[in-house]
Amino acid sequence: MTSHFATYYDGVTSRRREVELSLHPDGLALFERGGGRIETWPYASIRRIEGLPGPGLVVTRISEPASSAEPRLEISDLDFASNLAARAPLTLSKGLTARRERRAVVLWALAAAASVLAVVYFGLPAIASRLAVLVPPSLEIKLGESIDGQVRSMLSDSPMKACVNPEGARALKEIVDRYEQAAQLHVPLSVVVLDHRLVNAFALPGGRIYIFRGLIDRAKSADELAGVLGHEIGHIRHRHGLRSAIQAGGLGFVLGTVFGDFAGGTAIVLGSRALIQSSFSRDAEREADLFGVDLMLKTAGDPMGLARFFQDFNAADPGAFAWLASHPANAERERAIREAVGQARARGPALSAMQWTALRSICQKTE
Amino acid sequence: MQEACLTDITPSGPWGPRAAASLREAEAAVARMSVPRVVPGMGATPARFTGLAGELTGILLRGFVLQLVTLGIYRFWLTTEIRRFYWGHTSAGPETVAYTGTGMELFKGFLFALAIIVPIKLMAILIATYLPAADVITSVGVFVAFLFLGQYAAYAGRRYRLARTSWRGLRLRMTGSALAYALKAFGWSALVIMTLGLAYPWAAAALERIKMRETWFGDAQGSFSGDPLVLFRRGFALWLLGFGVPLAILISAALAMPVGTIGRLTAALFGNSTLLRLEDAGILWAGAGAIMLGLVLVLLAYPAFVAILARWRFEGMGLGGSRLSSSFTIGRAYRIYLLGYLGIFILGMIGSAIWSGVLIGAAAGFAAVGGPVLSGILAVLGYLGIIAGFWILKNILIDLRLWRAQAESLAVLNLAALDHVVANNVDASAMGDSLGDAVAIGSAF
Repeated sequence: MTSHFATYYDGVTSRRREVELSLHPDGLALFERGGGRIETWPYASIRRIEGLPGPGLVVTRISEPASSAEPRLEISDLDFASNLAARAPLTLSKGLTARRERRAVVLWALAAAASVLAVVYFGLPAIASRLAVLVPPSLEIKLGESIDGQVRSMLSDSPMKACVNPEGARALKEIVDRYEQAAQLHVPLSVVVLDHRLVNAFALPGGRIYIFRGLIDRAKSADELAGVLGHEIGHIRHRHGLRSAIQAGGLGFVLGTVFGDFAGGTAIVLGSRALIQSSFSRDAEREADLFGVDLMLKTAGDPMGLARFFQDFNAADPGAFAWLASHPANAERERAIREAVGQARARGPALSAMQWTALRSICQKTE
Repeated sequence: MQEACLTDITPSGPWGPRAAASLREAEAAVARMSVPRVVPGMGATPARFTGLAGELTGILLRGFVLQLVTLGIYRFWLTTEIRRFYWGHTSAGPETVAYTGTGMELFKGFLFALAIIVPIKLMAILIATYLPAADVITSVGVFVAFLFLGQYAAYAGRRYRLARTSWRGLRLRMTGSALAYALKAFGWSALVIMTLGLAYPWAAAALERIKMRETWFGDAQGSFSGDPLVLFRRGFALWLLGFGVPLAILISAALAMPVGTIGRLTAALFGNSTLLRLEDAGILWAGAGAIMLGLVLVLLAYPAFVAILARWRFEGMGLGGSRLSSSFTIGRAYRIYLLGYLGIFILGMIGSAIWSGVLIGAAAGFAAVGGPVLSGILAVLGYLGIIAGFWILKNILIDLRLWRAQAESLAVLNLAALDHVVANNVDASAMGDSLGDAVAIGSAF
């Protein structure tokens, strides 16, 4: 029986002891230098301690019940170490357990990240639409008012003026009233035309819709404008403003709390947040398009006007970056509208030719 | 049967019968010694640090990539690897210190910490949604809550790190209540703020005393004997430089203020700037200049502050009959910070230039094939590469060098006093440590 010397700490005192080791059938026996046996470690209970610098093997014995002592044995003789490893459940290759654990951690973390993202991606819209319905209209209106000021000051340096030419306003009121009745909204609708060259329109929570002069100038027919109006009413009917506020809050909360907080983490979190949010936004746009089509078919105006508007509106299509954009590609929207209209026929024009002319002059007077 | 008898006659203690038996054996062995134990002298044992930048760089590089891939979940395992590196290369006497914590423990601690953080953040979000007017109050409230939690975490995190620090086969441990500590620390910070920092030495001494007295290595208790007056004397010049000079400028500017300036400035604030006079602008410039100067001076004085504080803390620390002494100097600290940031700047610039050159070249090469998608991916890669570079440079050029310099400045007086310490291992959760990370006011790592 070969025996070797090793450094031993019994885990009970800080005393450093030189001990003699010997491999017995029932375990690793530790002897005092003088010869007296200290104890025998059963092979099954010996474990390697990782993370210590230098060559050699450092082992401990798993603690017995009701004991927290961590004895420590430093074996510098590599031949003896490999003999011991042949009997005990030890690995001699340094860091092997750590590498295995690392691989497991990375795989599980990937799975966890994927499942959290999946829950967020599929679950958050559902939660947001349930929650949005619970918010009382009075609160939604208040929220809209607080956003209103921010949005208007963001869009331009000087306060934007509202267009109020009386004939135009009457024409606008006519179509807005008709659509509002048919849409059965939970909040009162208020549509304002702003004197600005932007070709755009948007809806705020609480029933406020802004249409920019640029859009009216650009529209080739009353149907095109009516389509956009129907689309924005769809946003209000589906409480999209409220839903996207809840979604954005929830998304930032989950991504920021569970992930993040490491070098480069901000970029990753912001990136995935933007991606998911624009996907939510595309869904909302599609929903609003369909609502607008439905509204026009029920009341007045040709839904194909909305489709034509997208066709003419030759904004650069995002192409390969469609999955990054906040709105679906125009061609795709146009196709979806065409399909939704199907064989249905428009009940009548949105506005008479005279009303349309009057509406186009709404920005001749502003306040 | 015999085992049972043994436990009957002697209290088994918290370490079980085997431990109790070997404890008695050890005591008997000491008593049996024919030669009386050598009376411990006051010899100084220098501490050593053998960690090399190359090894740490490897850990950091791999860790950065794995963190990205796992959206940050790997950070707990990376922290563990970094601690193993630092602990394992630090030694006093023949034995190195071992870090026995695991990434899984930190991860579990993080989950516990979430249970505290999530309700606070959720409440803040709800209040912000329903009461936008209370925005400022909410953010101040969250800040104060996090400040308090940060103090709690500083104590609980230290407890975890000590419980995972093993030397000569025994663990360190920490008793006491993190909550009581957090309350006291919170009160002290309020006092420090009210006295414009002048009370800091007394706060530091009081808190360090609490932490060290609750620190144990087996049955050897820690102590702290740092004198706040000493710290005050050493640091007063720095305080004068960083706070006093800008404060004096502000005060003299206020005293030299012409009559009516405040009224005219207030009017200007509300949009009526027609009344403003030339001398009013001078006051404004003096105020802004004083604040800028203060910031620059604080930045310049920071390394000296680190050095003074570190040395004072080390020299006050004791464990059982042994003490620490430190030869860390202000000059050393300046060398580390100035050379370190200079190195980060130069290497960072060179690295960024090369890296963006490579990416632009690649983008040009692939432009025909991949189009915008590929260049987008390259842009993201470029950004991440630069972040990784600066992060690693900071870790190597500042953190590692600071640790090495501080460790090598240390010597243990009367190390022999720790030769016959008896174990008293206890466990501690990693919750506090992860909480500290979560509220971002934790200690170094």
